[in-house]
Amino acid sequence: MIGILNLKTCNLASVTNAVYQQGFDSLIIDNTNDFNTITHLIIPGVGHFKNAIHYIKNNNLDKAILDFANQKKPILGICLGMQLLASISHEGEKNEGLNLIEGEVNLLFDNNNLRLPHIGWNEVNFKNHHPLFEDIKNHKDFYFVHSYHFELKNDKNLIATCDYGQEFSAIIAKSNIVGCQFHPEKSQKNGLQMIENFCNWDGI
Amino acid sequence: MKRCTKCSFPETYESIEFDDNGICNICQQKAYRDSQIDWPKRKVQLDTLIEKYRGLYDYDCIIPFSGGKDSTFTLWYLVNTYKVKPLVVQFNHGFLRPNLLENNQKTFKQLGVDVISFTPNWKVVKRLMKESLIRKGDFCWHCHTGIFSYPMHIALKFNVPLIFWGEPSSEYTAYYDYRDDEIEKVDETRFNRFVNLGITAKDIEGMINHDFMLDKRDLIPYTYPNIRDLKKIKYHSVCLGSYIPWDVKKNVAHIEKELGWKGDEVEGMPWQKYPYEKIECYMQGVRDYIKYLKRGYSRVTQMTALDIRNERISSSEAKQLIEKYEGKKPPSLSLFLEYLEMSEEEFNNIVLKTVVPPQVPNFDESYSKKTWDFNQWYREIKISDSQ
Repeated sequence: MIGILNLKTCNLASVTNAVYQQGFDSLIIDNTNDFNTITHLIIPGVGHFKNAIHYIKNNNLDKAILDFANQKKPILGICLGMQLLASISHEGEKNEGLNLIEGEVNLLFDNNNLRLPHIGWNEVNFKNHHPLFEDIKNHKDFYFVHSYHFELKNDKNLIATCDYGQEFSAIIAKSNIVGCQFHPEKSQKNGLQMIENFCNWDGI
Repeated sequence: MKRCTKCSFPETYESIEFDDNGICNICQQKAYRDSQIDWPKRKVQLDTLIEKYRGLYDYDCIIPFSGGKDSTFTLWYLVNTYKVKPLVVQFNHGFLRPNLLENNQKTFKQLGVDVISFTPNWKVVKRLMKESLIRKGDFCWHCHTGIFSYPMHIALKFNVPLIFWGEPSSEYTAYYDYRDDEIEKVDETRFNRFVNLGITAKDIEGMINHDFMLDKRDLIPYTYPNIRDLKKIKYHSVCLGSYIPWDVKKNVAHIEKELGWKGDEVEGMPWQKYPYEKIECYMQGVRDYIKYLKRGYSRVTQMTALDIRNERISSSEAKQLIEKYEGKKPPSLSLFLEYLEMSEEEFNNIVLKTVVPPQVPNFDESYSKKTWDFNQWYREIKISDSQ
């Protein structure tokens, strides 16, 4: 059973449909009890970091997520869901994240005359092998919508990059935890394959 | 008509493109296939794939089977080389020929395999043939879709996730290009890309239900199963020819020797030279004739092109064969018109609307020779007529 965390602001339907189409069953996670029945957790993301992290902490979901992570079960953060994995975000004001992968979330570069947010299809370049890449070729396009990006503390957590005037983290990973800045649920064939790969992954 | 400077495929050929030297993409794919694809590595992938599924289900794999050279070779190869226990699934399009049925029997009995053969409702088939002829100038929609979707339904019903087809489409078109160096997945994407002529079962339902007493369930065999259901059983649907290089002539030699498989006379073909191609359907002559009218080439061009790419025939010999055999009117046209209750003039007018420029069809060609089994083919004569 694939858990999909309900942050109240998220694109739950598209992630739920993507998981369903790939042949898996999902459960919308509304409270900490729901964590007992799931094997995988997806943290989808559309919205503001501050609202999302406050919602998580106010509902004690942070502890449940950290417990889940400690059990070495697979977690996938998508877009804001990936940024929530960080130590700190500077979106709006400084807020502490889940600190599951060390790093800080900052506004994308403003020195290259490129419009923000970064919206559209862009090429993802693999830097390290990851089980999420099974049956997906390098340098394929995925769908992005974001203004902030994840600056990793440790380069070894960098799995794939994307270039928007400057290179930024497209996929990050640390043992059973993985995050992608793009929306795999909106990225057609290769994105759906990535979701399928995640759902098949044992976190090792 | 512009033609490939190497194999002579015309510009009306599906998915064709030419390079600066006038060589077509089908020829280039084939050259890449032979020089760049790591076939030993692909063979190891095949070993791994088969072992991954072996013994876990009621059958190790499903092998969709017409009884033609490709599916017979696929079945023989997998049973003989890998000792798999397959479920053979045959979609009977309604026009299987006597020699083919004999071949089937020999193959099934000698290999010792379980077989499911399915024949859809003939009245529905006829209506589908008429509609797809009118819409696309290709009356074989029921066969294209049935062949590729029905075995997938069986995969679901029997919970057998591994499905082996034979020849990859990169052998004859560029919808999937060998130069991408990918394993061609025989899935719904491929089904919708070219197999179903751009017409889904849902589409055709809306096209015929105003004048045909259709039960919606009649179209299930032609409907691609729900992708979630296939994903749930972890289906894996691929061509054997993606793992071993496909060589039609060699494959035919194997099945002739090992199974006593026999070729046949096919309308409009040089019988001595190409006795092994498309022997499974007695409407093949009409299919090839329409292709000639629409696109200015036919099966002979396709066969000689394969041989040219393999340097097995000179282009002058190919040219002679094409000139002598191609474009003749098939004797089976009379049966076809009888099934569809259509005059030849109506038929010509329909085909004329689907001609691919710059081809200009000639409807007044002479007839090709009748094959030995012509008189055994089904005639649409009602019992009341003969009384």
